[in-house]
Amino acid sequence: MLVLEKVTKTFPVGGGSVKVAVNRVDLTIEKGQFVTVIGSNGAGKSTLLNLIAGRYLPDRGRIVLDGVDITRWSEHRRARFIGRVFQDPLQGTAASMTIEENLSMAERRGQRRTLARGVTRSGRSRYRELLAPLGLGLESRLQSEVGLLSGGQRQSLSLIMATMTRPSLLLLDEHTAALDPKTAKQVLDLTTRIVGEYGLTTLMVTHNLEHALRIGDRTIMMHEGGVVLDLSGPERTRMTVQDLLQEFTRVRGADLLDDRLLLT
Amino acid sequence: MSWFALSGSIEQGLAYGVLALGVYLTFRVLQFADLTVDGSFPLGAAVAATLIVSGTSPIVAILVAFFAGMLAGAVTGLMHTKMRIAGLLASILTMTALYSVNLRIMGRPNVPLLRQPTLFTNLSDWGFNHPLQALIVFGVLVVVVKLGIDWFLSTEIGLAMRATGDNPAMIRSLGVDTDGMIVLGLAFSNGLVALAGAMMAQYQGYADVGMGLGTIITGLASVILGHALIRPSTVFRATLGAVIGAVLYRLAIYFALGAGFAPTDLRIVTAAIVVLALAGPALKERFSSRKGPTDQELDALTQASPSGTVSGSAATAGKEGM
Ligand SMILES: Nc1ncnc2c1ncn2[C@@H]1O[C@H](COP(=O)(O)OP(=O)(O)OP(=O)(O)O)[C@@H](O)[C@H]1O
Ligand SMILES: [Mg+2]
Repeated sequence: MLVLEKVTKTFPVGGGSVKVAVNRVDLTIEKGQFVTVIGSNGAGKSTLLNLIAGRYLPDRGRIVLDGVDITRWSEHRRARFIGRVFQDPLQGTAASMTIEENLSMAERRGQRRTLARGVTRSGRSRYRELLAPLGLGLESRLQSEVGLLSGGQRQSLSLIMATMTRPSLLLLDEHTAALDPKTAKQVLDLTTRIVGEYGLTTLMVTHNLEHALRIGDRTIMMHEGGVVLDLSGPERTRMTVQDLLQEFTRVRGADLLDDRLLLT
Repeated sequence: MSWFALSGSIEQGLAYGVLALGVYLTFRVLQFADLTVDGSFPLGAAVAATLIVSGTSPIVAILVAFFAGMLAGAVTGLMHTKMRIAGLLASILTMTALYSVNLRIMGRPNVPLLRQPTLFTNLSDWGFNHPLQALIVFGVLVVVVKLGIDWFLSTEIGLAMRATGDNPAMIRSLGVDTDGMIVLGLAFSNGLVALAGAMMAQYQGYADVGMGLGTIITGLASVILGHALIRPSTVFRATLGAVIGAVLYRLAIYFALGAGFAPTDLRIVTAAIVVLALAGPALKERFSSRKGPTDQELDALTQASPSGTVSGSAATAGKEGM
């Protein structure tokens, strides 16, 4: 279970002023819940995920994962419990290293690394088993450099690497956005399959409202650093993309109103 | 120019191979341009020479020199990671500071090792007295260091270090303290460079505070030259390339001197070689005479696959489209 309490993050924007990227977010995500996150550009989605992952420390608030207060933990220390896939397929893997080397690094997630051999024979057979179901033929190319793979192949590999140790939390930030529609669908199917199979607690940022509503079991909408809509259960099931768009306009409309008030 | 001078060049080349392996670790593995080596090479020489003169056994002196070099590398690493000083600048600061440190250690600018026991005289005393003694010593040393690095970079820690140079955000997200890896890598690298310095001092019979000047360029030239000849597709090949590059670089200097270059001109020649090698890809792109395939070539290419390239790739997309 992930609990955020009044989590806040500001960035200095010059001239002594600050941008409030995430504004006092309270959020509780039950174990095994699959939450999709939507919101317009600059709403604070990535910043929220970065706060949870520890790339930034919050200015205020608390982050508690499975009962442990991790608010001040460094990113690499939290990594033991948190798997991530980034938007850019180049970000999740080491290009100059082989598929098996990448997987073996991911297999040691959060554990003490020693002078033991990184890639072992038994490891190789585990990696083959993990890769074979992807149907990409990666299991027969364990010694290929990852840099030679296509974006979709790399993203699939990133997903395997993020989930192979069954982390307490999986963070996906628009991880299919850089792929062509067909490949994006394949990676998304893989995502739902793995998350379902392992029962992973997951936060997935997406700009695709259809996906946001149909995948997972809860949807939150962010706007100006806050959570403005939180849908689950029957309410979410009834929701259509059209309704969601209306919600978008509603929160934006409030903005317009504010702007107008400011102008007068 | 004689066999004697030529074998001397090869001996030096092998000794500089250890240096090149150290530079490979920072420059290629960690992607860190580390100028500390200009200070840690003479540091190794200074520590070893001073210890030998004060009666320490040469082997112990070499080990202490290695640790001194590690310390110097760690200082650069800590400045870079904990104080957020840009890597290049941090290494220049350490290098500059080491000049004073080296003078302090030696107490004067030059420590001669004439009539002092060295690793080489020790080996002679123990019955290993061969005309190729130095060649064999340096050869064995560089092979051991090369294989050691190959092994290290295949361990769990070694993989994490390679990933730190390749994609730090990714390896952090897998739980690795990349700051620690950078400090460790710099320490290890400068330890090797100091080791090379300690060996060099005993080989040439003195340690000199100025002997570090241009160490980084020698190391870079070796690595770049070696990797131009041996594509560094694996760690094994990459370290092999660094060593071969170091030997070839020394031989190139030997022949350049033979061809009438003044020793004082060598640095500009080396700098030019490094610039050319580094600029190679950019220059090739800019001055490439190839303007893409002609119509005929394109026709030939599309005829070669009757189904047409477009539908061909679409057909495979189902299987490998990702
Ligand atoms: N490192 C940073 N420094 C300064 N400002 C930042 C930084 N990261 C984010 N911001 C600002 O914080 C706000 C939220 O950014 P964030 O990246 O979280 O948005 P997002 O919801 O992920 O948007 P998108 O859908 O475009 O990815 C934006 O106004 C952005 O400019
Ligand atoms: Mg974002």
